[in-house]
Amino acid sequence: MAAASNAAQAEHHTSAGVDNRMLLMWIFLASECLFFATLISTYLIFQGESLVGPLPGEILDIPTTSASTFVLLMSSVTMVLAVYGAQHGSKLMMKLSLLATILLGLIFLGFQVYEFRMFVHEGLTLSTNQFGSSFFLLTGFHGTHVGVGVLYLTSLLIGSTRRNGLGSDGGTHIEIAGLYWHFVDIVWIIIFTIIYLIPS
Amino acid sequence: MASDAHATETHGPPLNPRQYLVIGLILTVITVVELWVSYSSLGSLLVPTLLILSTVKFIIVVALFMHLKFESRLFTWMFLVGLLLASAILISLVALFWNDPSDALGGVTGESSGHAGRLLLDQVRVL
Amino acid sequence: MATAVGTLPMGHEENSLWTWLTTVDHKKIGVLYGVSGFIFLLIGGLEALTIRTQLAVPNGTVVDADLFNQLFTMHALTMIFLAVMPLGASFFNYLVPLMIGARDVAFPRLNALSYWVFLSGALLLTSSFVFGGAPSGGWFGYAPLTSSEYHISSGMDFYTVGLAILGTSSLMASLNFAVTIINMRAPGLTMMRLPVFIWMTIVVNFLLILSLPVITVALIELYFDRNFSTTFFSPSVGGDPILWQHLFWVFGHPEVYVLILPSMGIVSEVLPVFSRKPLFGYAAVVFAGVAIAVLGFAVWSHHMFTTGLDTVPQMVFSATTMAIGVPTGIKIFNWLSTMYGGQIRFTVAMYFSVAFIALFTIGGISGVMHASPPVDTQQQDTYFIVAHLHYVLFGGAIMGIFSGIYYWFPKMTGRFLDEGWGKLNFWLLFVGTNLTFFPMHFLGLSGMPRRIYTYDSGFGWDTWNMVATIGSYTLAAGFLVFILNFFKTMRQEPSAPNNPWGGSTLEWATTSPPPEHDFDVIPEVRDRDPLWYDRDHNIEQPAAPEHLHIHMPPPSYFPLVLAMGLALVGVGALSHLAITGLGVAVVVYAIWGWALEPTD
Repeated sequence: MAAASNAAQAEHHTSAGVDNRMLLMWIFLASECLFFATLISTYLIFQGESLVGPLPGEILDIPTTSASTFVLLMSSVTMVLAVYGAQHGSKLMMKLSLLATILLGLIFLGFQVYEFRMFVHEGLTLSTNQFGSSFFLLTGFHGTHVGVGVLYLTSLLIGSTRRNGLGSDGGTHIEIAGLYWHFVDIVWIIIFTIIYLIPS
Repeated sequence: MASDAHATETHGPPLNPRQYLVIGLILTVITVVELWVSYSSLGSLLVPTLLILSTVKFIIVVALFMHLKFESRLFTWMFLVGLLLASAILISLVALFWNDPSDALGGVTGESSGHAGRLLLDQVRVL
Repeated sequence: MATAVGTLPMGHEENSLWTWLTTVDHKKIGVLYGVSGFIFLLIGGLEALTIRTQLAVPNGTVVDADLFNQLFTMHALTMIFLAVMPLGASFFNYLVPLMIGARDVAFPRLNALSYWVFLSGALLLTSSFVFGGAPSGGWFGYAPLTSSEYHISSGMDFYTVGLAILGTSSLMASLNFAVTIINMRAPGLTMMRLPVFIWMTIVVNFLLILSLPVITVALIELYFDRNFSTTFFSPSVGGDPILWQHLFWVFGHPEVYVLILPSMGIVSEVLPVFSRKPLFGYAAVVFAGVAIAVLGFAVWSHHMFTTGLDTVPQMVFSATTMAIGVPTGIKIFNWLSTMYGGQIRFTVAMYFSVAFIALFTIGGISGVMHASPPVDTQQQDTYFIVAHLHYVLFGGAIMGIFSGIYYWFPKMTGRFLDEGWGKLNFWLLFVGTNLTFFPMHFLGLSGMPRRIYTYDSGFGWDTWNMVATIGSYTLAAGFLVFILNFFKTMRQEPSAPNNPWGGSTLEWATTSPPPEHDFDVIPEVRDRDPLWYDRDHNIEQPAAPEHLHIHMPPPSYFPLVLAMGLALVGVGALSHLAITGLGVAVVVYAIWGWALEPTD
């Protein structure tokens, strides 16, 4: 039934020649740019303003975070392969790539949890200083976005096993999820550069 | 503009899996270069180099993975509006809070914690 | 379930509570927003009346200082977020699909969701009065007064959580309308043939889409400061209160354009019809609206001229603020030119639109004064600003909204609000506006600060305060007349034809009220004023086919359930995080149900 309505949606007249749902996601991502820019601005404004330590230079672990960055980057590759599979009707490729993306996303989250716990252990919490507050808020909300993304992709994966609607609409659902996932990845690219690489 | 345009047909993807894997490799290489740069002693070139490298990664993911290059221009405009406004607000806010080192509101930190905000603005001033 | 609505005779729509709770019809959702918005407008008005009663005489004893602070805070929050914005949303919801020749918005369930989330946020925020006190730090919530150190009652947490929920609602609605307007226009309806109201709608949508995230982050940071001891805004722990101000106003300034642009759109629709002339300078009016939005992101620190900004930022923000008067002026002149040489019909809707031009201009003049930092240094935090903002928001936004109500009432209900009572309504509001707010210019210039719960005699403020209070009661009388007019009118039988006013836009091409599917046949558009063009060129509307086979999206209860889940998330943030967890579970359940339910 969903296939019929999706096909119907794809065929009906649109003034700008685009899919409503794709347009929705792109405009939503524009909004998300503002969200993360504000969090990053807060971080940059407070850089160097902490009254007490620990300070970034003492506590940030670049090698480990580079590994997690690599993991997230690879998850973008698997995501785009999932979209390819969906658009080419290769359900196996779609499902395996989705699964891989989900697992890589979970691994990234695992790294984040590990890093957060390490920092707390070393005396950096949300309330310790300006660095703690802005760092945990920024990376915490990014992590939340990754978590929502994992739930999103898992729902699509489960949905694709339940009925033959998903994936046979030309992969639009998967493509839209992919947009969200890649966006979360590029936000991390910026965060990684600004928090970890530049100050080091 | 409101001609009877039909919704984009479910087009085949513009790139094939092999190309995606190559792009993934390129992204990895750039990340490695970034790491190397961040540990090196490039001095005042450090920040612009890192910013340029991450911008390249950003563009690659947006244009090729998110297919922005191949889709309707409308999507590009929508995203650019958000991105440009976000950048403008970020730069304005950081500029509004840029303090010179003699400012009383300063932390214990002084220099070494890396004032990315200050560093970024210093680079802009030099350029 | 397919609904071949076309085969049902009109007026047989169900009207049960369940229908309203599960509707995804943009017209019903518009009514929900309109009724709720109006009720909150009255509540905000009662808050204002209490304030004015307290300030009528020196050393008033009607309320104490703390309650007064809650009242002025909630008055602003109520008027802005719970009244004017939802009333705007009400017009967007009802009119956007009709004016662009669509049958509904792009995402009907998302539309319903945005209403129910709005209602939860509104109830949550307002309930603060009975749960330990409403927020009392002003609607702009300046730190560190809003910190847990100084604002001990949980009212400030109702503020952060309530506004965050309301922001989500507005964001969803804005995304929906933006997609709808861009992608669902009738054949022949190019962007430059869109009604000005629709242009203002999409501009407002983008203002919200781009500014809401900034305040969301600010609210999160304040919530975390109050509840998790983060260090963003409190100087005692190294935070910066000015950061709050910047983040708030980066949102707050575009927000005021969100409040005024819908009314500017309404006026742009009403004036041509009752001048029997097309809008003068359509392209200029449209581009001016876009320019106001773009510039609106570049002026925010004019709210902060007295916070010790450096010279360069002061100059920049002063220049941009003065610049924004230009597109506004362009609109005013185009409206005047529309009327000039026209055959004016003085209906109540026209009265309100013409009054809008005059009153908004007064507000704009005081606004330009504040744009100069040295002048603003005297005016900031005085009643001069209160005068300005009420002229633009009451004399502007509210008058525009009333114009729209009188204009579109026959379309929405099939009945005409009584013109005689309407004129009384108008004059009470017009006189009341000037009586209440004009004296505030004098009060401000003679030094009366804002947000003081009382004042001593001997400052020269007594007389004007009394006049302002009398004015506020005049306004109240005006509202009463409107309410009576409304109920009297609703008792009539619907009798309005498709196009009682001789309008030119597509909503007048269908019945009053429209059927559930809006149009029997989707119109084809050849001109900016389609109905006038067709009339002048003797183009007939195509006849409806014998059997309409139109598929409308079925109703759904998942938007309501999702909204309740979000409400639980909010309640949990104010009490126990376990409730937030439950809320998240309900949200996930609702999203699943939503994704899986059939839409045909």
